[in-house]
Amino acid sequence: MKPSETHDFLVIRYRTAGFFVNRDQFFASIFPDRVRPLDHPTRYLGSAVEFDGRLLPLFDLDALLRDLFGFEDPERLHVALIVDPAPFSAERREGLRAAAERESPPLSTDHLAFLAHGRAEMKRIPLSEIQPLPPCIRSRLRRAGILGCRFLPDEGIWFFLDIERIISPLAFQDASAHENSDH
Amino acid sequence: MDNRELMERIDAGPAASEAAEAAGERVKFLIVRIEEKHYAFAAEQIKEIVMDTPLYFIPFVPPYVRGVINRHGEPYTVFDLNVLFEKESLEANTFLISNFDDDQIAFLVSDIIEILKVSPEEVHPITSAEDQEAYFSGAVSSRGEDTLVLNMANLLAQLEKDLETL
Repeated sequence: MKPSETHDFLVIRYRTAGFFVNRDQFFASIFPDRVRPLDHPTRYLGSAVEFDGRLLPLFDLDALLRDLFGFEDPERLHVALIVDPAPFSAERREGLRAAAERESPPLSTDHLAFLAHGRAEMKRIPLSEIQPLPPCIRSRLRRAGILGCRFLPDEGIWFFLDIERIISPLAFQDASAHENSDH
Repeated sequence: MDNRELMERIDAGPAASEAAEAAGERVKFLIVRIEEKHYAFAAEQIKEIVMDTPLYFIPFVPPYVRGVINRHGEPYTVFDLNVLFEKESLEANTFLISNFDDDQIAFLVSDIIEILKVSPEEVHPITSAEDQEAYFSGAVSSRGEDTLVLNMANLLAQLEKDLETL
């Protein structure tokens, strides 16, 4: 890594912490005004959003971050990040497909949308400012989708998130379990 | 100590004084208070004491890992030994910053009591049969009381084991 090397990230700010996501992990962001509830919701996958004439599963990243970090942020504006799930693990893609096919009509799984906090903006960040987490907790947090962090003088800590790994496969599998219990 | 002797010490650097100390076979401990109990850290394992720095919560870790703190732009994992030993969170804001080559670890403590220098013979083996024994490598006498010496290797091994099951 060159000292001057930078990369673009989407930064999502809450009052007590921030998060940043690799810009290359999503290709569009939209205002989620055409949202409909799912017939078989789970905690983090409860609605679908219309994008480019298709109905995409809308994963509630905002609710997940609030649950994980215990935020009580009053701001309720949101944006939806559109992600191509092709690079996701087979387990996650299968969970997503199962959840999408439960809906009537079935949702598109070509893309997946992530609901993020409204105070989100693109930023170019020097890679030298991103720190890996301490070795004793690094591999567990990486598996869970927290890749590193960045400290800022007036804004505390920002966590570097992997948008795929932060979704537990359970978020989708719960939908399948719900399906089985219906029959 | 006159100036000539003083300059010899300064010119020789800290390694020389450590060597002199080793020759005298004294071991140093940092004695701290965590709630009502005193514990001993091997002084060589602690490089800094920091107070009143923000502690940032992290998920997916056992409850005795309270989060991370920022030291010169680097994250340090914060252990709350009171959670591990007494099952209660410690309300404190004093951190011991470890001096490990291969990890960044800090310990939350209530207070610093003293720096204790003893001969190796004064570090006693533990005779207790409690489960917590594994967290301690011995005991030293500080201010008339037996004070347990923390076993860092076993504390880290416990974290590794707990992270596997989370």
